[in-house]
Amino acid sequence: MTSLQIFLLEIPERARPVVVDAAARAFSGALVVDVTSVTDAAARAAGSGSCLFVIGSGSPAVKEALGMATLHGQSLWALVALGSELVEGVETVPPAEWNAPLLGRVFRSAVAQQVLRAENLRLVGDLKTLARRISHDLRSPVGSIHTSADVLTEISPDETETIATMAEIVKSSSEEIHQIVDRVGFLMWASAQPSPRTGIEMADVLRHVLQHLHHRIENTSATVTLPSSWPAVNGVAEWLQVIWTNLLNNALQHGGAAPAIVIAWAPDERGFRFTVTDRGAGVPTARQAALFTPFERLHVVKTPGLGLSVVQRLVALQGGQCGHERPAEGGARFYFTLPADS
Amino acid sequence: MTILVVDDQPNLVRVTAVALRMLDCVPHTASTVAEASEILNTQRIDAVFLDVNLAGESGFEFLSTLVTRANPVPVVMFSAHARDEIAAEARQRGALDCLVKPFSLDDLRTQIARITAHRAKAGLRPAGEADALK
Repeated sequence: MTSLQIFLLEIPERARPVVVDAAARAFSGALVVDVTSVTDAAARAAGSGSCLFVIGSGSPAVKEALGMATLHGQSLWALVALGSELVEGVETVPPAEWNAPLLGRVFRSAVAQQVLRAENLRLVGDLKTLARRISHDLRSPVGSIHTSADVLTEISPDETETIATMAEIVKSSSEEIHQIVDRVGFLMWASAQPSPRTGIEMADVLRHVLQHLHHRIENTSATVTLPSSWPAVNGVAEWLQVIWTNLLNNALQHGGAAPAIVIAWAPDERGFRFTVTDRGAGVPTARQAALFTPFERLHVVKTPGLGLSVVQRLVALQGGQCGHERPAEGGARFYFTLPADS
Repeated sequence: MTILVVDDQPNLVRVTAVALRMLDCVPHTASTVAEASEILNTQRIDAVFLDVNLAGESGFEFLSTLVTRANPVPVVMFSAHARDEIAAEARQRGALDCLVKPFSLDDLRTQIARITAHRAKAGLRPAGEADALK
């Protein structure tokens, strides 16, 4: 559990060495951080892995930390209070029990519960998204086919132009349904039965993706610049193909006339950072926040498509992060990271 | 009758427009509130078919604007969800009805008859007729 962060806020001074000892016994490589407030902890927790929040039970911040433990449908941290004042809903350890072996067990248990809670929240979110967003997304193309069929049954056979329009709507609506079912089905399988990460040559993944997009690249007169070398990464080849395909399709669609697309990578502090940059009009500011909406949040946030939510989930399942930034020279840059560990 | 169709799903907008033409209506189409507002400001529109969920915009908020403006226009909402509370909110906010997707030609016929009755009761003439009387 190398990515675990342990936040300390207003804990009794005599508990501190015991907490540090307990953390070292319970988790290897955990990072112990003194935070100044619950807000400070929330900022550090955002987008990171598991977090444990240890707080003095007499602190008024306990309730705030408890309230924020689940935020926007995501579990931010496990919470343990230290002190004689019991707090409802929080695992509270009284001073008589402040010894490293016991605290270590409490910490491990709290973090294990948080991992389960986070998984549960994600699954519930996935179900809500399926129930609400997907049924909504499918109803429109199904509706187009339904109404088209209705029109075709009443239309005069000599109205060939309308018949052709209806046929074209039926075809593209069917493709839309196919794409939604395909993407959602793929994502559900990937989430429910994650494939093991293995050593992969990213060059092979990109070669496959560019072959697949060959016609679209030609039709848009796009140029794609590749790095001179690629790293070997740990990941799932099929998922990486989907990630690159989505990001490149976006660049081809929004990169302007004859898109100039640059694919690059660089080492970062945890592994590798991969980027796709285009010189198009860029993403409007109002739309940037919702770009990588997690799939389990799509029942409350409406986004134009599912593509970047699929990317977000597949990157997260491989231990990485993704995002968007606006290059100084204009256009848009989308990135994802992969950890270097196995 | 001139009808403005507002929905962010291009295929649904196209097929609704074709269906409305078959029912002797004149369709105008928009995919955003801004496009719809522009059409309403420049064209005579007898009624609006409006989707509840537009990309990044609330159809309900636009509905409130349409029914409270100086020349209120009858609105029929489209919804992808067959849920009573959506239809109830649509009516509470002033929509004539809420049509659940997918809908048939007969559903559209029924709505056009409802709009015609509503306009007659309110003493409103169809846009084309009003223009002819100018």
